[in-house]
Amino acid sequence: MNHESDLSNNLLVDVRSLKTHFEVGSKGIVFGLGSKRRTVRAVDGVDIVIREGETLGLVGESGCGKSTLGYTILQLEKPTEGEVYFEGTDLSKLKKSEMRPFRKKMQIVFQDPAAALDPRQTIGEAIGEPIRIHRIVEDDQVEERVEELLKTVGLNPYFKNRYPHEFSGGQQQRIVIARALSVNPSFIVADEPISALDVSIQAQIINLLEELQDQFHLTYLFISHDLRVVRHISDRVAVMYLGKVVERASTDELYSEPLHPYTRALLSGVLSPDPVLARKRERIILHGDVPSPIDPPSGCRFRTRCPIAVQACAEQEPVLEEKRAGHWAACLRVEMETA
Amino acid sequence: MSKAILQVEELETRLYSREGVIRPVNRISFEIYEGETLGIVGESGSGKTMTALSIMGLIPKNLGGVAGGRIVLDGEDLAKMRDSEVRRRRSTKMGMVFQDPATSLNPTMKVGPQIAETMKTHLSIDDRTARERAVELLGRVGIPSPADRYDSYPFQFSGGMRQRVMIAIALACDPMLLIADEPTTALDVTIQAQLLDFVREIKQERGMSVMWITHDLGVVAELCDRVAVMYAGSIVETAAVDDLFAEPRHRYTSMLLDSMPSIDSRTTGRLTSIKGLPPNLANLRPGCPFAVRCNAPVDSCFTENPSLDLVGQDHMAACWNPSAPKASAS
Repeated sequence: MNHESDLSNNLLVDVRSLKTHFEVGSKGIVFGLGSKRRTVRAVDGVDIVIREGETLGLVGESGCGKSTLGYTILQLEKPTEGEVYFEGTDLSKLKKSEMRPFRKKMQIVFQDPAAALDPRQTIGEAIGEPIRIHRIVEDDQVEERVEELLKTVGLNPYFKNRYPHEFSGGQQQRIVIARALSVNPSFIVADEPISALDVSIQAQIINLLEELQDQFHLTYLFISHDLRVVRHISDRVAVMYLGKVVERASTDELYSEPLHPYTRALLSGVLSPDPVLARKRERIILHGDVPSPIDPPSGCRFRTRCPIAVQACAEQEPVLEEKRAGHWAACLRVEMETA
Repeated sequence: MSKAILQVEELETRLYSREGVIRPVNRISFEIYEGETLGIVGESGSGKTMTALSIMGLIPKNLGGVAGGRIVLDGEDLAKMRDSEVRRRRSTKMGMVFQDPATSLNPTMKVGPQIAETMKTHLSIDDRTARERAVELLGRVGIPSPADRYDSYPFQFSGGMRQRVMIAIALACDPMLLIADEPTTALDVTIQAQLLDFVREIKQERGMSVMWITHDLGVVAELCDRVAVMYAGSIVETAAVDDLFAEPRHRYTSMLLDSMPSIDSRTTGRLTSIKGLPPNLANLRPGCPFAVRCNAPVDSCFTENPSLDLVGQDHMAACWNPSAPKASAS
């Protein structure tokens, strides 16, 4: 019902009722006695689809589960419940060996490129390693392929024998991107790929990601808390709060007509580099912090900070519904548009 | 015009590095007026934090220090003072909030006493009054049930709450100048909105001046009255906030503004990016440090570093070929 998969063909990723929970806390000395294990509901029932060739933006505050969702789609985390279909195959049911052919189709670019690269490996080795493992080309052609990839991401192939520390943050991120591209993937999860970079470098990397998407027909899940960049790069956007998707729509629709009160607050908190607009903009200041995903509020999870919450919000958990054509929101206070 | 609380003149700070002596702050001048919020924007390595640390006298002696210029705070030149004298002016005349509240607070000490300690050091008050005032401050910065939270440890607070505690410490001795170094960078958007709102309020209430360091032009547009843009250790442009955003004159400022995607409309096509990287301070070439990345350099850009000159009313830029003011087009 709250699923859009039947609406379109050419789905690359189809996530259904996905839950990823983590057990935390200490075990008692005797098992079961004094045990304080609790469950973090990082991803708690998410349905999303990603179409071939599109960029889905995934936004939300830290701790909302957006990175965990990305990792679970890639099976870097095992889902607790639910399915992840990739090109029609349910990855969550696969054994490790069966997963291998899919690994090269899906890659990830992390936030901190310095941490994502092995400091003792030259960048040529870093990019060549996955090519060798997945036997993308014959062994004697690996070097050539590495040089080609470096050129693709805008680096001089001559640098291939250098180490990561010899590069700036932006260049390191280019190297990480080259490594992700090395196995000819069709799908890339970009997890905050520009947050660690300087402002003047961010646009370079965004442009590179867009150029590569055109060139190699890539599909992106673009995870970010930067709503300006997400607006620029995404075709559609999903907003997460405490493990759930609370709203999803096409980018233009979501930014011009946000329905969920959380999305509205998020958008109003984005600071525009224009002091005149900034003074005109109406701010919604949310009170308090995001509650803990260990013990989320009853009913709607956002109700404790919501400016328009009513009694019913505490009792009933809102489901993600198509409130407008192609525009889904999980909120009791948002009326369905009557056709 | 109101009076200048802080006047920085030809400030030069040196650091000793393996590559030789570098100048992260290279003869910069600016002032902050009473009740004003001055934004200092720049990328990492542009010298904005080093400027703040120079003013606060917090650069470790073995790493370097202020090598020239004047830092006049409330009529006194801090650059000429002994460390002990500068220390006395920290807290009472200027307070600082750092980027990461998790590493700036003492993790083994309850938060209340950390605020009270500052007051006991600088103001001659007894333990009880210090405690009372600290509780009051905690309440003022928006910590719920402050009397109970006085005895909490930093780890028991969220990031936004810790930053509020940091602000409480900075405000403990009622300084005339608050220096804030990227205080919202580590926070989420909704928490950042809370904090900016709060800073505006408290500034109004106390008539305090604020020096707000950030890399985020959005925060500047939101909060500041005037802006100084830094690049490679120099101030390259200063203007009132509206003028800077409406008519950026230095090429770096205008290119930076162009490279940012807008939240209010969808940018089509590629973003205008700035090619290359910020320069290595240990190896600055003659001429303007931005010349190699600039989209409109002229010959003199590569030979002589431009000085910060008036390009409009209260608007200064250090550029040989400044962008044309938009108004003249009509």
